[in-house]
Amino acid sequence: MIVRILAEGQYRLSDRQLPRLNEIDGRLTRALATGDRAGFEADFAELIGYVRRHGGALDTDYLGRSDIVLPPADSSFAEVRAILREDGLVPG
Amino acid sequence: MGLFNRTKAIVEAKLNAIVGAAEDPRETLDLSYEKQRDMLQQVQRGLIEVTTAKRRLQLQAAQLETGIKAANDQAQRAVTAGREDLARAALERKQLLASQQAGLEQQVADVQAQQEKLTTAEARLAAKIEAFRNQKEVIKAQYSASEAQVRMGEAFTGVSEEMADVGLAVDRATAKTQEMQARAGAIDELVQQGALSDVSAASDPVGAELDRTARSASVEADLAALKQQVGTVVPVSGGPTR
Repeated sequence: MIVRILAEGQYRLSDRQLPRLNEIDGRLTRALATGDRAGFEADFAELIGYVRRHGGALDTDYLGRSDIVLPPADSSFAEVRAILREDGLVPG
Repeated sequence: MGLFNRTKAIVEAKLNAIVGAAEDPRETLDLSYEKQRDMLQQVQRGLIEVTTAKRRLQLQAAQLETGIKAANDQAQRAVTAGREDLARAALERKQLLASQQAGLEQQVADVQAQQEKLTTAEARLAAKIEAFRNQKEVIKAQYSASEAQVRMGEAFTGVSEEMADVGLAVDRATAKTQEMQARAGAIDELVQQGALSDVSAASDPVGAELDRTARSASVEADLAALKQQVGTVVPVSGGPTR
């Protein structure tokens, strides 16, 4: 599967790593919901770090859609919470 | 799952806004060159805006430094002249400028980070546009029209996703820069004012009062230190002492 970190690039990970990503995402979402900023920062850093460490960085000229997209690595608590809270986006 | 889906939805919304829904896929692929050029121009304009903001912030940091030194000199002169009231006012101003200076340094770092992100984004987009162009030629040469359509569609998806990523990066950098411009306006005012005033009082009276209370404690400490430095002896009129 292809994971894009916005403003950074795309990484190729094994499908078997998806459960781990979901697990970190679960913790991150709970931290956001409870207003636990320190917890969020740790979890978000863990998520980004995991992708960077375990993913093979794709060449810049790779042309392919991403399966998963993550916010920019320097996103704040407020920014990520806003992403989650966004009311349904109207397509097209 | 929530965050992944939501982020992807934002990217897709941006993608649709940039590329739009086209009836004829062939038309989409040709139009995409123009849109790609447009996106590169957007990044370049974003870079200019961010770089200009950075220079303005650096200039303000220098102006604040000058203002702080001037206020300090004034305080010393006031103490020497036995004018504690003036010394307090000067030290109050010094504190105000110093607190702005601390925030500014962080902002310069933030703007620098945005500048680097946009520079990287421009390079990545340019690489993907180049790859798209090359792939188009190869595919046209190797495949039938219908097969080429399919393959180009995949390549097109890749480059438009990058365009969406870059578009979002430009939006974010521009928004952050505009926040800073608003704050920078307040600092310009502060630097130009000779007299003491608190620019935050209008928008946050309680916060301003609390800041003032904290500052006056610092000011008293500074004043005491200055008086020790300058010495408590006030020159008397009449001849020099022997």
